[in-house]
Amino acid sequence: MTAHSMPLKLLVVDDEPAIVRFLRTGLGGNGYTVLTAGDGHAAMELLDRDEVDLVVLDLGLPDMDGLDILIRLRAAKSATPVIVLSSRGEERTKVEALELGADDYLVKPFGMAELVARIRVAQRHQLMREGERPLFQVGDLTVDLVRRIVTVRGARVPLSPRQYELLRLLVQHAGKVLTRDFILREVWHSDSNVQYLRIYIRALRQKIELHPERPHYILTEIGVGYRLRSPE
Amino acid sequence: MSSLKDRTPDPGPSGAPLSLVKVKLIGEPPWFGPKKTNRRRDSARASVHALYRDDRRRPPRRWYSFPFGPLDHWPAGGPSTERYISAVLLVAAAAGVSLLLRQFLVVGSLVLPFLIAILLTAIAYGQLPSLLASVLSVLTYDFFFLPPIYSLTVTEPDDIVRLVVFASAAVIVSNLAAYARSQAVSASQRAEVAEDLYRFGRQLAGAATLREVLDSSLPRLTAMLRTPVLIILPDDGNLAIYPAGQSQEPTPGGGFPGAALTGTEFAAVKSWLQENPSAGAATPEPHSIRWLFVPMRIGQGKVGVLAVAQSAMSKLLVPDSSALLGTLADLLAQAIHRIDLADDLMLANRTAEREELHAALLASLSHDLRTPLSSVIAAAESLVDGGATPDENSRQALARSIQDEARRLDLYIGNLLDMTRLESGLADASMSRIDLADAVSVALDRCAIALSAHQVTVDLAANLPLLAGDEVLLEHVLFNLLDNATKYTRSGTLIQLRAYRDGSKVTILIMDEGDGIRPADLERIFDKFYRGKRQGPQSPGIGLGLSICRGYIEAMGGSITARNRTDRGGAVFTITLPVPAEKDLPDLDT
Repeated sequence: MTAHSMPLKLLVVDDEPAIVRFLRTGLGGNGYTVLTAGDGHAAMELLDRDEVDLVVLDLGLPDMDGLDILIRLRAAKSATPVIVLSSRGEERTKVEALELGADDYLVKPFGMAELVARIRVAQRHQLMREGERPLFQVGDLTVDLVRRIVTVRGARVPLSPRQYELLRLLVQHAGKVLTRDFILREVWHSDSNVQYLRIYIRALRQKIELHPERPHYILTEIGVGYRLRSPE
Repeated sequence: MSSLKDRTPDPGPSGAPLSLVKVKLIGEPPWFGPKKTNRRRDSARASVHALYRDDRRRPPRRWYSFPFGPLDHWPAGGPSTERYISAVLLVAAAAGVSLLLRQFLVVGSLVLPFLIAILLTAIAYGQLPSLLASVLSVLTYDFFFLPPIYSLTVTEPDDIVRLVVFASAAVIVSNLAAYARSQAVSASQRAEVAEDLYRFGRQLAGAATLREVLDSSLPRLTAMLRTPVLIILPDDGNLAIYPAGQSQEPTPGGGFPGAALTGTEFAAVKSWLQENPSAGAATPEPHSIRWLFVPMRIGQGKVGVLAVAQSAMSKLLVPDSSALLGTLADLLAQAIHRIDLADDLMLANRTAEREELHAALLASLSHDLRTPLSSVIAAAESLVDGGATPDENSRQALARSIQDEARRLDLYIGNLLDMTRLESGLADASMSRIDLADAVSVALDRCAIALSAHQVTVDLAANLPLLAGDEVLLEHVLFNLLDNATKYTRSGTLIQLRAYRDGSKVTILIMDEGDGIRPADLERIFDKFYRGKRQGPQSPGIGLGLSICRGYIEAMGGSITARNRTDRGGAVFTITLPVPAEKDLPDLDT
């Protein structure tokens, strides 16, 4: 990973003092500089004024919907990574946030380790935007994006063009959750038929995973989509 | 009702065919009571009570059959005349027979054909024609057979006695026969009424809702009474009038038939129904010229009012029909009352159930949520206070217990939320094509810590079709079942998850090697807040998991059941989900 000379500056937007305190302590302890905002307006001001490297955004704010901040941020062409905090059972909100440009989400309650891992993935994707690395490797899985060769546990895996497209999309966003609609749009150029995706994921797992019923690489984000295990 | 009794029957235009639709026997033998000229009215008077006369053409009712055919059916125009003519003809026939027999028999025996003619007349045509036949017979017999022949005079004392005896016999025979006839008629009509009432009662007894009572009784009442019928029930301060087509608003002008109640009628019925029995002067029962209002009561309670139209088309004839109407109204009142009671009972049950649920919820909150919370607080206080600065190991243990207990709390609260969502119907399964494997892998992952002490095997058939459902809900179910299995079995035992296709269904089995479930609990464990008495090393929980599972699986059109393993100790939870109709699936290009 890229070494940071400057500590990353994070903005935590949440109206729960306890959560804010926990995040400030936890993230500070992991070497981040933490700004906090208790409501939407304070967050917008901070985002206008300060250079922020990443936003941790709670969706339930007292003065506005957290999604509005996301919309404004993306409308202003800002690529600042956003990690959304949501409550349990709000799969639709999660999907909506991801579709609106959030980079990831975490369901409350969550652990600090989980959050830090997500922040790192989002951060890495931010840095990688400029140039793809030609060789992707996680565990026993290697994907050569130039030669379009996939190997698992040392053996080459033949994939159909579309299966390869699907895997390449996951590799490009390794560690990030991709919504089903996003994958369908990118690979099939239509988000109408989710059963295609299900069948292809199943086929891909059969070829890549040692235990397809307990996948190690292609992980299911229930109710949302899929995520390829990140190399870390 | 008393008003009805005072009303005299409307004789109706003479000669119109009368339909005795509803009759009732009051048991007054007609021996020599006052007689009227109309045979049918006669029988009605004697023992039969006609409800109304229907002038509309309708098929004749065959209420008595005679070798000659249906004798009560007369062509329109003069039934009584024809009956008397028939009486005369029968007497003439008897005279002919007697003339033929005159050579062979003594004069005294020649009365027998006449007696037969009188008997036949009485049975076939009733009392008055038979009286005519009697008189004619006596005169004919005297004229043709008693010397001096062809004269009405009688000279011999023997003949005078003969004539007097014959006349008396004729009258007695005619009366007896006519009575027998009316008895037969009324018996068959009584049987018919009884059958109608029986059917009506059965129909009402079978009705489970007010709608059913109304739907079954209104057409039947209209058919039985051959007149429009309304059922009027109190409805939250107003009146509900059925059939529903009937406007509740008073019709100006009050066209009839088909119109509902006029304003006055409406008000009268309403005030009678709403009258408080304890409040002094009683409101009179509603009256109207157009409607006959029959109260429906249960004891002192007023259930409603049965309104029977008295139209020009069908007029009520006899006041005592009120007995029948009363019976009908009673039957209706009982049926409606029964349904009210059933509704009340259901409401009470539901309330009780809800209260029980609230009590269980409170118990759960105070015990099941506070227990882990107490551990968290205790552990956190030890960490904060430091005390004798615990070593790193015990600090770790304390922190871990906080973590574990807090996770447990989170699960409980999640389950409570899920249940609330299910209860309020918000858990709408968003149905799409899902892969069971996705849900299985996530559930196994989420349950990994609890499962780490057990052996787990997963066996998903290769040909599993995609399912129609909500993967979030399905994952919840699998997680709950796996989590349960870890709670109720000893560590080191095997937990198996299998799924296979079985025709148009996919069956998912989750088997453990614990002590199983008490047979009596197999169904009850799916009840809210019910905790089975499963033996296990630990059985924490609030008894919601399985009822949530059932709610979710049913929302996806499937079913979930529990049973005990037969091959060894342990429980099996079986989920079945329907396989959706196959659409064109993409080539897997493998």
